Amino acid sequence: MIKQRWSRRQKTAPPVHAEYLARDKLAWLLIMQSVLILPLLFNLPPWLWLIWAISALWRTQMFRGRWGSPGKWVKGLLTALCVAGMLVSYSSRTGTETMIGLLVCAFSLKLLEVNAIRDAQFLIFIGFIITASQLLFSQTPQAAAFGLVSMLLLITCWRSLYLTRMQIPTLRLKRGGAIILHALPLMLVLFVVAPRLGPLWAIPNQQTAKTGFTDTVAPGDLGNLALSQEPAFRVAFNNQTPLPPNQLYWRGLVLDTFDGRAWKMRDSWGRAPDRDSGNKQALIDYSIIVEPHGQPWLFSLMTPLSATNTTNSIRITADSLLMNYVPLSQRMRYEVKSALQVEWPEAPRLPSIQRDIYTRLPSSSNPQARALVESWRAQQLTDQQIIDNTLALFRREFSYTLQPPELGTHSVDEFLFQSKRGFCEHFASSFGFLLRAAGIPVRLVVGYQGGRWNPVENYLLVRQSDAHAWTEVWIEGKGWQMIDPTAAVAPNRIELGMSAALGESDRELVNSAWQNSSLLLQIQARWDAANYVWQRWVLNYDNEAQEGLLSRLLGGTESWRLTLWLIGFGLVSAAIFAWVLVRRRPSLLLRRELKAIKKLEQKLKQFGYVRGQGETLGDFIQRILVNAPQHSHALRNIHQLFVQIAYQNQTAHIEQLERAVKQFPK
Amino acid sequence: MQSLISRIIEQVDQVLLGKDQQVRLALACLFAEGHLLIEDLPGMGKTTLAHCLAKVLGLKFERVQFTSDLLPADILGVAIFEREQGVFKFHPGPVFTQVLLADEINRSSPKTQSALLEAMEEGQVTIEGKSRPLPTPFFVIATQNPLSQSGTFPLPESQLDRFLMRISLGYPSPASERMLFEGVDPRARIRQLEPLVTTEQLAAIQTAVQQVKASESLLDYVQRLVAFTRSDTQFTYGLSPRGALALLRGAKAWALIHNREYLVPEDIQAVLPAVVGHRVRGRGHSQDTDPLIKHLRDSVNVLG
Repeated sequence: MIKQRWSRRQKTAPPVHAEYLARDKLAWLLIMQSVLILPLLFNLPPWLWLIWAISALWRTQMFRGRWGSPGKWVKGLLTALCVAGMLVSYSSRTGTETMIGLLVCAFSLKLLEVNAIRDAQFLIFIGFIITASQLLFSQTPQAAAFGLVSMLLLITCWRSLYLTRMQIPTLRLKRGGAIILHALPLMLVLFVVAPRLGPLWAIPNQQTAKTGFTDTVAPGDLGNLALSQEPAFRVAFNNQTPLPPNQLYWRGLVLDTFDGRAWKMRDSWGRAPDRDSGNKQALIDYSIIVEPHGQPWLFSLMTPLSATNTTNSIRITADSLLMNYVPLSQRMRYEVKSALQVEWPEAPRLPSIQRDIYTRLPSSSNPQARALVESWRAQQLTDQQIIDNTLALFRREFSYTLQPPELGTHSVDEFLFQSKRGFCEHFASSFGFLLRAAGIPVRLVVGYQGGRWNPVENYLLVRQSDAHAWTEVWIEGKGWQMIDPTAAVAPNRIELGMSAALGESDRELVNSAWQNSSLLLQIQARWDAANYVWQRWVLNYDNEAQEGLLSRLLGGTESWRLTLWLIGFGLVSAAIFAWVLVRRRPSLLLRRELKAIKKLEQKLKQFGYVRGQGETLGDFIQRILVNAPQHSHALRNIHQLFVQIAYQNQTAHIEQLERAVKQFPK
Repeated sequence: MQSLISRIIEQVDQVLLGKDQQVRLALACLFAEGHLLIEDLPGMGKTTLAHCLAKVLGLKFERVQFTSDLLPADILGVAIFEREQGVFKFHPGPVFTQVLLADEINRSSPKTQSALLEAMEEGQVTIEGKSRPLPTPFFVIATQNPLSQSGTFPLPESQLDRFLMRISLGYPSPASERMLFEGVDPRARIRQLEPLVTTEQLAAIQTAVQQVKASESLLDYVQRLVAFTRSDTQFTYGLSPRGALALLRGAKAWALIHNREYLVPEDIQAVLPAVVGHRVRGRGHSQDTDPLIKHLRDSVNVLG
């Protein structure tokens, strides 16, 4: 009975080269795959979850011996499903994401076919590409750490394929980790010296909505941003102490058109700046790493004089704003020089066309506010007095809150005369309206104000919650002057940050846990600092940075110098490697008699005789003498001498042996 | 001593025709103070070889035919109550001898097989709490049928490890088989054999085996062999330190038989199948380890 079964099994047994995978290896493959595929599934169309789940379930059931391997129709159906899914999701565009989608399909479906070691190898190779493609979606330190974990799993898995004896999982991981650790120094060296090529493919644009403001600001827009703790950008001041908070107005956009409810931007980017006149003072030199927000505008302090990044894609507009040529789809670092004060040798003039633009209002909106301004004008007030009057009004009767009531069409009227509670854009918007009604040129500025100083790495972190709106007023003889009406209502908002300016109920909205616990705050600061370092030293390591680092390390980047260093480095590592080898195998170099025999073997090789690995010298010589008996005396003598030296410890014969080998075959 | 050894070989060769190599291996095993396992089909001369060796070496010989119902007491002996004296008296079993032929050892149950364990390893048996030393020298020559035959209990690895060598005899060559047909009955020849050595001479030979020298180069080779069995993927498990020691010991006896007081790689290679064959296991768990040993021998560089 048993014999019968055995013979039947033998009939279906696979050929030796296609050995079946042991169960523990399959388990490793399953774990490896489910970890690797996870970040991609979150970024790709949701039907891929289904494909992967079916594959994994089926494979698990096969693993448990419940289901057989899938038939042709199952595989065909799954393939058809994938094709259909790809067509639906990607028919309109082809690009990197489509390729990754295909890769994930292949990665999932291949699992069903993994029977032999060769298949498992194939799966592992796809896994390496999967690990790399995961980085196309995210380049954060977390993603890099995840990549490292993926590599560990892949290597462990790969190594496990060839294990013939059981090994506990922790030991396997340890061995895999050792391999990774071995590769790490080389990885670091390559990171530093390998040439930086431009990306071969575009990094896919993320579909998720970016946090940040748009070029239209209606009441209530910025209040939503205030709830987000996400970073907007980070600033490092070069060789300078940070500015006091009331000077940290990071300008992003200038809005110059008011439609009665919202402020918008006229397309004015084409105009050339007129910033060459005027005497710049109090220069600030800083660098900013901005998070991708999907818009072209960048942030700077008032009156940027120059702004540079590695691709030279930034220009300065007439409104003294920084614009990138293309919307930001990945983090970018740029250097800015700003002048905090500008002294004009002669009074700057506002052309009448521009004056018209900056005082234009829709004719029929907000009648109550117009009436108020007219009453002021009737009192023969000057421009400055009107400004002071407005600020005094705000200070007297208004309060700052994150939860202002909804406003209708005449938003300024409703805010000024009914609700009297608002967020920064309410104050800026109505302030701008009142001044325009009085004929004073004014524009709305949106951007960020303040930021939190990170003492770990000495930089300023500006978050979405620091989003702010303020105004710039044209003062005759002085030019555009920044006036922040919010500062009149809630000075704390400017000096201490938003949560200080808010009431109890508002504060709860803004994640009070973060704000109150100093430990959490510290952790947050450290984590953010790590992110910053990562961005600064790893992601921004481009050609220029490489050149700078190499010239600092090696004293220059001329090609002869690089070549010399490369050769030197190669020699040193070869020497270390050789030293390790020699220490491991002392017999390799120490035994003189072995060297002599090696020489003899080389000579015999010319005659066509090669000693097999397991062949003793005696057997070898016997074999030769069958065909070449004329060497009998010489070879037998050499053999005898060698045996005496190597196995009888009669080392005195060594010279004799060397001589005999040298003289052979004469 | 050399002439003595060659006379022994000559004598045994007269009974076991054309099995020169196997006779030398068996002798080397006994000189190295190891136990011998002979594995072959019935009727190939296993028992004859064992019998011959005992006779020529002049040792006390006992034979136990292992069967499936054989009990440990049948080998070791029992204490029986003597009514006249009113005490238990120990009746020693067949194990109390110098050469024990355990015929068809894999026919008996594991319990009985393991009863031999202490005897083989320690040279003593413990019965009813009392250790009784066995006579010296003490050899076990066990024979077993190939495991594919029905009604066998395979020896566990731990027990196989106690045997220094495992050899198989194989069919005789046509010429020696013809001589067998034409000559005298082997049993009659065994009866004619005279003891050639005394216990003292045997002890001297055993001491000489231990004094055979192994040079650094040779030990390097042995270590390379052992390391290979532990790292090569074709081996399920590698050679233990005890196995490695056994290899050296067997090779030393082989060198002595060939009139050398130092080891050369040829000695190691000669005893390799007999000493290592039953201590390793290939990937396919096949009983036949000859291809595996050949792979081992051919893959490890002799000269380093």
